[in-house]
Parts: sequence; C-alpha cells; structure tokens
Amino acid sequence: MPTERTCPTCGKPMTESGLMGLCPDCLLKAGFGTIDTRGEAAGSGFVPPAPEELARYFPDLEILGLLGRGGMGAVYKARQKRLDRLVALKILPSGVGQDPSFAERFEREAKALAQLHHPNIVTLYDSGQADGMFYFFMEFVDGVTLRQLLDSGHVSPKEALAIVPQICDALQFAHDRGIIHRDIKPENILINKDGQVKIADFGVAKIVGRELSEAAGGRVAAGAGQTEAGKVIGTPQYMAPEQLSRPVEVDHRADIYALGVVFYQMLTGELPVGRFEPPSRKVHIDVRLDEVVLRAMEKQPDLRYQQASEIKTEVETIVSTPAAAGIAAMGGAVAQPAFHAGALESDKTILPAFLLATFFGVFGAHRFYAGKIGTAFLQLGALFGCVVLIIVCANLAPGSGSTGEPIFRIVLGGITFGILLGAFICGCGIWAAIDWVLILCRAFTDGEGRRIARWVRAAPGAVSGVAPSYGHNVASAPAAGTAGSLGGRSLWAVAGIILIPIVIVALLAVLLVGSMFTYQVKSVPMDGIVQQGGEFRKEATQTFPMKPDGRLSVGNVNGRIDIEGTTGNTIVIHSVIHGTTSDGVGLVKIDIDPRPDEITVHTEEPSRQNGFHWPWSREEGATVDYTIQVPEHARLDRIVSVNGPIDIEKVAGVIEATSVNGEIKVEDAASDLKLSTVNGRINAAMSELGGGQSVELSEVNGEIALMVPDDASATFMASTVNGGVGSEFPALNVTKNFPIGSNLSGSLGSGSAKVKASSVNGEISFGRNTAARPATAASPGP
Amino acid sequence: MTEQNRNIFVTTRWTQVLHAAQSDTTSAHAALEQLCQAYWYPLYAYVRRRGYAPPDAEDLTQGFFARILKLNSLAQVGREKGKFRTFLLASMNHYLADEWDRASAQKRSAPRTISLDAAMAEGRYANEPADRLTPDRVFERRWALTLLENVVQRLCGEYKAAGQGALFMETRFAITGDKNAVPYGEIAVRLGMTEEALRVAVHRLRQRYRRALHEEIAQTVADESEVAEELNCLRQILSG
Repeated sequence: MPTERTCPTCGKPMTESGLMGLCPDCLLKAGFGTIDTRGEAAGSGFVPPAPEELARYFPDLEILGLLGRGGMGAVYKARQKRLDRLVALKILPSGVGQDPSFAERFEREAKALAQLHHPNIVTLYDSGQADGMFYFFMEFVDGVTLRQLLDSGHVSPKEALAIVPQICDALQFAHDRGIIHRDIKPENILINKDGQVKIADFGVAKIVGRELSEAAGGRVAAGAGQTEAGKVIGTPQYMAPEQLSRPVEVDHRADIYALGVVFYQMLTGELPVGRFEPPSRKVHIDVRLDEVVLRAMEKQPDLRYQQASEIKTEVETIVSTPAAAGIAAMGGAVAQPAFHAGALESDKTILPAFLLATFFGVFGAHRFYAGKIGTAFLQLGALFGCVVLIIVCANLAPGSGSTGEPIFRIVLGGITFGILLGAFICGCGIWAAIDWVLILCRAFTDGEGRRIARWVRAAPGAVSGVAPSYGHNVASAPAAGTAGSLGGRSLWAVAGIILIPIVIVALLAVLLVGSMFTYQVKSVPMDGIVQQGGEFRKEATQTFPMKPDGRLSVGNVNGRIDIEGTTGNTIVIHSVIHGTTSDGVGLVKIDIDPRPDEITVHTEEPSRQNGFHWPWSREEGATVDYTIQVPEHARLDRIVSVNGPIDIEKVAGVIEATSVNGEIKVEDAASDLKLSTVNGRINAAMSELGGGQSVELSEVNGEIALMVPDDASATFMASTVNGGVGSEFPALNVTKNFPIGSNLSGSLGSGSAKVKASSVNGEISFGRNTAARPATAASPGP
Repeated sequence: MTEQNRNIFVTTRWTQVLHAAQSDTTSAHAALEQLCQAYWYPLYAYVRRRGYAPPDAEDLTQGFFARILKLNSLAQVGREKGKFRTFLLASMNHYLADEWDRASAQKRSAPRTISLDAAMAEGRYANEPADRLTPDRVFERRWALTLLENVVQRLCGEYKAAGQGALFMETRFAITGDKNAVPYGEIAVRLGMTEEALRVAVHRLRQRYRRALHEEIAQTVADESEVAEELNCLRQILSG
C-alpha cells in the first residue's frame, strides 16, 4: 500500500519521490530565505553591536560584555550606574524593528514579563526603544542556562528533581495569570549560583486573559489573536503536537508538554524522539517518575496534567517517599494486575533479582521433587523462591509501561517466561538425574558407591552454598536404595529413566504454554484494544436507522471498505482498527454522524504518531477496515480519501468515490457511477443501465473494466486515456489515443452511449454484462 | 540581486541561446542542448498527459528536441523573449499541432538528439500520483520539481566531490527545516565534528543551497530581474 509522507516542516503531504526526501515546497521557500525569519535574521545578518557602541544609546549603563545571542537578539551584561546593580540588557537586531510583527512581539514580551513577579521568573525592569533599536532590562541572573548544564555533561536525576518543581512553580504562577510561555526549552531555563531556577523569555507568551477582555470590550476585533493564524511559534523538539498542528488553539498545557520534554531530557540526556523508552529504562531512577514524565508528554492535552502544580506535587511525593527496593518492589508489582514492566526499577536490579530467583527457584524445585521434609526454614525458603521466580518472570515479560508495546517484545516476554518456567522444571530434572546417577553408582559399586554418592550429592549444595542443609538428603540415600529393585536395577533408577524424557517434554510444553500464557496476559486491554493474530485490534459495530435512499459518506480511511446493499432500513457499520502498535490503534478515532437521511463516517487519523517532528507513518500506524451494510437504494456519494481497496456490492443508488489508492470493485450497480482520482484498477459490473444514467471516470491510474448490459443506454465519460480502449461492442466507436475532450459516440448493442474519457493511465475495456437484467426504461442515448 | 548573481548572468545558458545571433553559435548550441538535456522530463510528462502513448510520447519528445536543436533554428530561437520554460512549452504546443496533422499515418522515427531513457521516463511517469492536473499544469509542476532535483543533486555532487557527502546527507533536512531543530549534538558525534563547526556547516549549506537555486533559475530566464519572479512563479506552481 502506498505510504503518504508528510513534510516535517510544513506538514503537507509529500506525494513526490526524489529530491532526497526533501519537501519541494519547503525547498522553494528556503530559496526565499524566509523560512525562519528569527533565526535567519540573527544567524545571517545580525551582528551584535560592540559594548562600546551600545554605550552611546544607554548613557546610564555600563555595558560589561556580551552574554549571548539568541534567536531574537543579543543579551549583554550591564551595570546600572545610578542604582549600582547588575542588569541584563536584551536588544533586538535593528533590522527586525522595522517589521511591525517583531515590534509587536517585543511589546508583548515586555508587557507579559512586567506582570510576572515571581522568584522563579526573570524580572523585567524596563523596556523601550532607542534609535529604532528595541531593548529591555532584566534581572541579571548570575548562573548558567539549563542548556549549558545539559551540554556540559549531565544533570543528575537528583538535580533534575530539584529543578522541575521550581519550573512548575513559575509556570503555575504565570498560568494563573493567563500567561503561557509557549517556548519552554533548556535555553530559557536559567539556574543561578544558589541553584534557584529562573525562567526567561516569556517572549512568545500569549496573554489569553487580556486578549479576551479586550475582545469583550470591543477594542480588538474577534479573532484578532496576537499569534498570527497558522504561524507556529516555538522550538519544534519541545513543542506540543497541538502547537504544531493548531497553533491558535494552544493553551497552558503546551507548556506542560514542553516541561515533560525538558524533564525527560534532564533525566536521560536525550530528547524523547521517535519511539522512545520510559526514562527508567535508560537510567537508574524511580520508576514512578516514568509516569509523571510520560503523562506530562501525552499527545492529547486532556490526558496530560492539567496544572503544573500537579507535577510538582507528584515529584515531591516521589522524592519524599523513596521506592522500596528489591523484593518489596516486586511484591508490589504482584498486586498490580497490569503487570507494569517498570515494576523492576532498572536493568541493574533485574539481573540480581533474576539470579536470586533462579537460585531459590531451582532450590525450591529440588525440595519439592525430593519430597523431603527439611526444616521449616528450608521449606519456607523453597516456597519463597518459587514465588519470587514467578514474579520475576511475570515482570520480565513486558506488556505495559508505556502504551503500545511492539508485538515482538510481548512475544519475547512470553518466551522469557517460558524459559524461566522451563528452568524451574529443569531444576527437578537435574535432581532427578543426580539421583539416577547416584543409584547407578550404588548398584555397581556397593560400598564404594556410597562414598561417591555422598560426594556427588554434596557437590551442588557446596556450589550453591547450602551444603550443610543437604546432610539429611545424603543420609537418606541408602534408604532409597532399599526401595526395591527391578531386573537388578533400583526402582529409583527406573523412575529416573522415565522421568528425564517426561521432564524434557514438560519443558517444551511449558515453553509453548508459557509463551501463549503471557501472550494473553500481557495484552494491553486499553480502550477495548486486544491483541489478536500478531497485531492490535479494536472492533466496533454500530447500527443506525437510515432512510431507504439515504446517503452514506465515508472519508479519510486508511484501509479497506466493503459496502453491501441489503433490504433493511438500517445501516450497520462494523469497523476494525488494527495495527502493529496499540498506540497507533488507540490514536485512530472514528466519527460517525448519523442523521436520518445522511450518515457520515469519518476517520480521524493521528497526524503525528510520535509526537515530535517526525511524521506519522502509515506503516507503523493503524488501518481501519469497514464492513458496511446499507439499504439497497442508498446513495454512496462522497467516498473520499481512501487508502485501500473498495468493494461495493448490490447497491442500486448513485456511487461516487474520489481519491482512492486501491482497486475499486463494483458489482450489481444500477445507477450513476462516478469515480475520480483512482490509483488502481476499476472493475465495475453494471446491472442495469437503461435510464440514461451516467458513468464518469476520470484521473485513473490503472485498468478500467466496465461490464455493461447489451442494451445499455447511458453516458460514459472519461478523459485522457493513456492506454488502450477495448470494447466488445462493435458499434461503439472507441479509438486509441484520442485527445482530450473529443466525444466518442457509438452504440452499445441496442442502446446507445456517449463516451468521454479523461486522464486514465491504463486500459479501458467495455464488456458485455451477461448477468444483467434487460433495461426496463431504456431511453434513447444522446 | 547580488554582485555574484550578476556574474552568473553573463554566462547563463538561456541568455547565451537568446543572444546566439550576436555571440558564439557553437557554445549557444551546446548551452541549449544542456538545457534540453536537463529539462526533457517535464515535456515528456506533458506529452503523456496530453494523451499520447509511451512510444509516441518518446518519439514526439525526441522529434521536438531534434527540431529545436537544429543549428539553423537557433536564430529563430534567438528571436524569442522570456523564459526557457515558457519557450519550451509554447514550442512543444506548436510542434504537437504540426505533428498531429502529419501524424498517425506513418510511424515516426525521430533522430535521437538527447539521451532520453524511455524505460526510465515511463517508469517515472507511471509512479506519478493520479491527479486532476491539466497537461500544462503537469508540465509546470514537473518543471519545478526537475529544477529542484537538479539543484539538490548538484549540491549533493559538490559536497561529495569535496569529500563531504556524509555531511550533506546528515544535514540536508536543515535546508528545508528549522535550522534550530537540527539535532546538532547527535550529528556532530556521528560526523566527528564539534557542534560549533557543524552549526557553521549547516549555515553554509543553507547559503549554498540558496545560491545554487538562484543560479539554476538564472540558467533558464532571460534577464536577471526575472529570477525573483520565476522563483515566485515556481512556488505558486508547487503550492497551487
């Protein structure tokens, strides 16, 4: 199935191949040099003035040096002579002042900042314009930016946990005043020498409250937002999906998303790009932080934390209640039915836990196999070992954590579980084998055998450090020897010989069952999504009343559509969303808008699978297959944007489809058929074309086979055929390579037809539809 | 228009062709041939969309180029004004009209003047999306895309020749994207460069691309003042 890529920059679909994967639109745009006026202005032309030069404009200031230059200008360190305090002076490049949008932006930044007095927000002292150069004074923060901290090596999780609550405080404060930062990123997070966080650059803040009140007061025309519609402001990696797709509708939750990204980056040192892992998989941190970070970064704003203060509370709770380590944490996992993969803190704890569990498991297995009653302590230990082993197995099988685990990991989890369970059984097998050898030894060498046996039996115990506890086993061995004999061999030996194959078979069976078992247990039953046949699926059937000649519209489908006409007066829509990730499946939403005479089914595809600047790929995403039953005479107009085949059967109403990537098969159609922009074969069998209906086909990349009744009377229209036209009707005048617009007329049997074709890449053939009913109301053709 | 662009203009191919009467005819002819070689595909697509079958389209395209590349037709071309793009389309329309009259009866066998890989052309054409574009729009769109492809390929070639192929491949998305969105850290590590050096390289790439695009457009217009206008035109063509 063809995939549709979208340009990560402009978001438009990229239908063209070549250009080394670059978007042609953006390439031309880049030719103008206007792609990023901020960056370009600063990057290409803008040279920050020398401190001496600036001194001319600011006689009251002593310019101490350039601190840095950002997207929007340069920041200098200066001393305000009159007050003898250090300030940061930010100036805009002189060029941008001429652009009203920059000036306005600057004004906004200043005003927004002026409203914010908070220990974690850089305070604005003053702003203005000097000789066409916009500037403002801000509190000077003696420290570093978070970007510098991140670049210099790493921010420890502990530091991250100290920084995040302060960012939350600042954001909450601003959000409470209706101010959204919109550009939270490490560059804008300053940390002074005392470790206090200061957020700078509320430059792109949109003052929601103020605008609303102004609009209400009639001073600002409705809709005259400060953010130009369609203009995306921010830094892509830290931008919430809605900020990229619907910049106008952004609210404070975009900041929460950006904070989530910054948080993730602080913990892991990486940006959460693509299919990223929860932080605890990458570094040794409290697993509970995963949820905080991932929830802050939810693609849907509604699923995120709704307030920055909530994140602060969560983080502080986690910091103040350390996670119980080791066994206790695992015990906790048992209580969680969802089997969170994150229950084990990190890879580092998994290994010792695994070894410990295996040891206890095998030890326990032996105790059960041997059937010997040891001390209560040993029995308890064995039982405990088995339980631990099972818990570890369960936890090793990942099936949760973040939503949407790739299938192979689930399978891997199942196999892991199977292997471990196999190891447990194998423990029994090993002990059986030892006993078997032991008894053989005794059978052949009587007195000497006992000594060897004692040694053999003690060895594993010595290795595993529990040798002394085996004393009674060894002592009881002679008793086993007296159990009886069969053909000169000990019964125990015979039992051992039988037992070993059984153990092997059991091992294989457990491997199989284990994988099946976890396969089911580990499915992620969220929102009705189940795993089935190697993929995630979500199914739904809905029934609505529909007028007998009602209209069905289906749009934006990535999958196949089967429509069948029935005699009932209802429409039954069965949809199956399936894909390789539960994430992809979960993201697809189906909208059904039922009205008495018109039912619209529309799929909302996730525009961004991975949240960031990577385009959603159909391959990774989900497919929706529809099976729809409609009343026989329903009109199927407006079937648009379908990436998959369409199969229509026994529908007598008008059929209309456009923009289809896939074969269209129409059977038993009797009314107008209009298909356009089809990338695929069209195979239509018309059963009754006697009432002057029309068949209109245009822009088809593929073969067209039209089966029409002998006495069809209809208008056929198609244009620009780049292929042959074949007809079983001798009287139908079709010639190859006819130019646009030339109408071909001819007779179809006893009827007549007018043919017009356009943009067809393939062959058109007209055939006799022998199964068709004779037309009842044949009217003379044009 | 910068000083540099002015310099390009002296030797731009299309101006050379247009001034063939006054200047060196042989080099003008070579220039026209180079232009035709670079832009034959949009014409092929145009002819196909006009409804000609692949073999006919190939013949017609070849025949057309054979006609305009005839030495004695150069003077005629030299009387043209305007852009190479519009010249090509208008000439093709004339040619098709002429040819249609003569056509169908005998099988044409056009002399091969430019190397036109028919199998490749058809393969490429078949892969194009089905759309509602008129033949003229198809030509324009293909033209814009071919021009861009030439620019990108040339830029890539230049980088490769300088032993910086890997740098180009890693940073090419910065041409179209937000350059601040480039994961400089990651790429710098992969390329063994410092991040600062990489930033400079990206900046240069964007500059070089812009220059290459302007140069390529300059090759196809008659006057330097038309470069900006043509750039606008191309943008409309692609966004429309």
